[in-house]
Amino acid sequence: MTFFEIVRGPLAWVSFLIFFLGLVYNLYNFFKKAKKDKILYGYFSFKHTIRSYLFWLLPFGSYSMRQRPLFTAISYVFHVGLLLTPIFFLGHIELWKESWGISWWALPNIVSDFLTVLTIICGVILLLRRFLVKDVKYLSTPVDYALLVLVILVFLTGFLARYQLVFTYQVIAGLHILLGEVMLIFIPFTKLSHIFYFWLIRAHTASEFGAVRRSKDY
Amino acid sequence: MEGFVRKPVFDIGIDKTIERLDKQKIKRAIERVLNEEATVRFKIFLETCMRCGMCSESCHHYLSHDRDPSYAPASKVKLTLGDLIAKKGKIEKADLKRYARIAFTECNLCRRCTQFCPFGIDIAYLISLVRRLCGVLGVAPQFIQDQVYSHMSSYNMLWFKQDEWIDTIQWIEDELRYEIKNARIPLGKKDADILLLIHGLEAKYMTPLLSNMLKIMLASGVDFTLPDTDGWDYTNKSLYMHDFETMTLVTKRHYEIASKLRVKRILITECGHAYRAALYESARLLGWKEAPIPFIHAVEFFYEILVQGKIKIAHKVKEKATLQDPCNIVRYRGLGPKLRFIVRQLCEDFVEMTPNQEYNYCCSSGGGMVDAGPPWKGARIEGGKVKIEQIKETGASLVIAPCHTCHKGIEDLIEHYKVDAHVKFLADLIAEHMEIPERLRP
Amino acid sequence: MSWVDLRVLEKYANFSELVVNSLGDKIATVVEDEEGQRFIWVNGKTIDGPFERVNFLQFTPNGDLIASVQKDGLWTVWKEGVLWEEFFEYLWNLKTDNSGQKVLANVKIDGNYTVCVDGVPWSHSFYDTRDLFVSPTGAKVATYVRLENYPVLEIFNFAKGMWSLAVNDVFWDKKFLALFGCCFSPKETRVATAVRLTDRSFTIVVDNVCWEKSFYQVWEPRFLDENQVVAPVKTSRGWELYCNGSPFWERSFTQLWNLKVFPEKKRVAAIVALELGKWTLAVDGKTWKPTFGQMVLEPHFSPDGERIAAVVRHQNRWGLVVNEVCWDLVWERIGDPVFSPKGGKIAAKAEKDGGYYLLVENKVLEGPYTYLWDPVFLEEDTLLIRGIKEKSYFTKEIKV
Repeated sequence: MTFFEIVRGPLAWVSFLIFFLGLVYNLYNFFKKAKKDKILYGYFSFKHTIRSYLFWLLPFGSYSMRQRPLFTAISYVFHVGLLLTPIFFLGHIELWKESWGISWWALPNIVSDFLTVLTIICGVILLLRRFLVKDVKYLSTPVDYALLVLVILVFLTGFLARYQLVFTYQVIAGLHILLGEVMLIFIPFTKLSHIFYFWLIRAHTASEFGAVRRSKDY
Repeated sequence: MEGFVRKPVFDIGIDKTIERLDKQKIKRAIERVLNEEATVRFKIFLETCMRCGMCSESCHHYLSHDRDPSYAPASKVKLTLGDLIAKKGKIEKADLKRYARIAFTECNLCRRCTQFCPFGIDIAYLISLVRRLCGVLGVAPQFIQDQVYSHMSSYNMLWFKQDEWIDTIQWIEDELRYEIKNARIPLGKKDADILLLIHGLEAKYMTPLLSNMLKIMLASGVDFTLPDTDGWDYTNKSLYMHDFETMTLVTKRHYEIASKLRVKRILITECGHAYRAALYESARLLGWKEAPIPFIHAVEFFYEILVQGKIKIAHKVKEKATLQDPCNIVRYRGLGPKLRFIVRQLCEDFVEMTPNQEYNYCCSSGGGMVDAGPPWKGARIEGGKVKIEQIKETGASLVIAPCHTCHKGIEDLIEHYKVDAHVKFLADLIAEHMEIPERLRP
Repeated sequence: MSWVDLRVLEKYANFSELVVNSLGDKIATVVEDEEGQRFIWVNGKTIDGPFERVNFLQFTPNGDLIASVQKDGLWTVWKEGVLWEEFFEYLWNLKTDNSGQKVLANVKIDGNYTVCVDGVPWSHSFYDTRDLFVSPTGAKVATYVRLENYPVLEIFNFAKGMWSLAVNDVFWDKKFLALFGCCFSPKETRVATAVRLTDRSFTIVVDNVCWEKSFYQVWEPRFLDENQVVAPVKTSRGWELYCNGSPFWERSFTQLWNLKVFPEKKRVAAIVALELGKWTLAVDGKTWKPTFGQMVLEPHFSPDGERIAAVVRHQNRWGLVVNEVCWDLVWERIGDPVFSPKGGKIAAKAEKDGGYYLLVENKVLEGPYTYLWDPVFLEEDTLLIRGIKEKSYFTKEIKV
């Protein structure tokens, strides 16, 4: 097996498996431990949770976001790119079709290219922000930088692979897939887990602020 | 600790208590608070913080200290719990001292940062855990400890004796008769509608404020009583050092008195922390999901009697007035609109601070900072720079502060920063500006 | 049936809360004239005065009227027109034993504090005394006492403990951070109380001897018999019931308090929370089926110990629960359950929309009235109602 075949085949399986198992394990653990916490279930308010999700998912929906428009815009674009590109990039869908015979609607290539570049630019700005903005720098740990670099590299190698600008396709695409798999594996076990903890923490804070404190968390 | 530069402040409640601790005790306390008491929230909050810095500018301490990053909310977590976890619980006494200083004197637990965090991470909960850890070890500012020792044995904050309480109320009753005909203040009356509890300071140093509150009670004609025994003081200063054992003892006493007298509601005067504690912080610890008997704040009461026409404002306040939204009743309980209704009824010229309502800045004295006493006055004056700027911008000469802590805090800020303004409670303003009904005029 | 016109009270400058005796034939209050002088008023007439102040006016269980009164700035006890010889700087927590024979109060003498029983002050005095407890026959009288008088802010001295308990003029030598929940054994030979120890943990003290174990927290203890004390204690499992320092009931609770013991049958009833906002009773370790969202007040045993009743609050309405059966939860206020002498019937007063009603076995028998005092069973099937209607005090006997 070549390097490309390994990352394209068994490693892909392994990474998806670890991601899903890790996700399930984390959620199971959370919901089990949440029982001991008398507040989390007892005060959950569906209405206020939905309200909070809406205000925090809409661009500039929260007071906090409106106070920091530039950072909000950059972070927003970064996250949109991060979510849309991997799922709706035509090249990725073709891989799914090849292996599983399934496919879905794809972004026009020009759009996914544009999104990729935007994501990389925003990622770099966020990275520079970590280095340059005093309070963020004070807070940041090596892991925070490393995770951001990893995400940027995944997008960068993807872009390079698509245009085969460096190395052979097999090498650069293999590298892209490998980094993507590493990122996937990291999600449940690093701060990248915020992609699912976001929903849980917001639900708690929204319920407390809305139903108990009769106030706003957005 | 890198980037953590502070002028040394000596507080025997923190420094001397820590000196007397041994490592075993600290270890056991960490075990108890972080492993037994803290729940899944603690770990998830810490793991999810992306260190994005969105919380920094929400914090009045950060803004008031020229954006010193060590005052950012997320930094305060990093410098306390983050440090403790990095060291796997094997902390030095100097670490504990830093934790106590941050948790007690650099965070008011106002929860504004929670509103600013994209994830809604409850940073105040994390800082509360640090206070709880300190509290279990008996580490807290001396002045807070004094009050807590008083609370745990006498249910009031200032070592008031039982006879002094009854005597004080009856003396105030005598005094009130110069203004209210045949004024009578019932004590321990069964089946009254409202049980009025008061702030410890009102019984000792601020009796004119208490007189004004009682005047409003009498003028409104409601059926009320005060307790004739311990539990008359609604303050619950143990909330500040997270001495949950004292805190629940006090809250239990309040609801016990109310259920024993079979009153329909408990009313407290203008205070913040006690309202929050009785409504949920302490009530939950006792097993109540909500206040078991309606527990209402003076703001809710004033709103009610104004709307129902039980009192009338005879003449309005002329000077330009602004309003401090106390965190504990606004961000923590949404009383902002009712507060504004009262203020608009009272004042001709009312101007809002910016930001206001649930986004308002803390007065920098809340969460026990004013109770931490003289050693930490500097800390709250420094942290209140943002607040005083807010007040100055309004151009108001009257600041209405319906909370004892905000009131004292802003009074000190005004004095220190030499602003031409004064602070008032709602009860004082209402009593001065309401109509005394014919039947009550001496 | 008797009537007292209460409109006569309106001619006074002021009058205070009305009190009635258990036979219902007397209604009393404190009235004031325009000069602010106070008089004791019974059944339409002033019977004594003037005093500068009158506090704690009450009927004793045997029908005597007592009060604390102030003359020339000093306080003493007034009992049916007779004053204690000695006067005090202050006098409060006026109480009697169950028979009403013994009258006692906390008193202040020369700036110090003590207890006075039937006019005789204890020989010891203290920096402070708080709360007063008396055993059913009056054999034991106890009060929390402060043995040290450190100035404010001396936290390291406070931490050594300042508080103790004094029983019949003898004080315990142990000092604690705090005491609460003092109680007596059924035969009145022993005294127990909850304390906070100097290491900030809690335990139970029985006759000056601490339980060996200490706990995160404890609530008020009760005697099961002369040698066994039960108390709710908080452990890492939650709230548990312990007896003499060892586990007594199997399970733990979110909350456990308000113990009531029926000594003859050694039954223990307690109020428990199964989870936040889920309250019920636990009797001899078994929890009741119905649960209530807001509150369950202390349990009451019937005279034979077989029926247990408690006041409950759910969705902002009050009611009663009796042996796992819930009465209508419709009241804005409800009095404590009153058992008939043999325990066959339960009566209570309740209020709704400003009117008071009499309930017997969940049926409204009387009302609405302006006010009702708790009903009194004269016999198993005869109930005495004491109330106010159209500005008159009335009593009425009804068959139930």
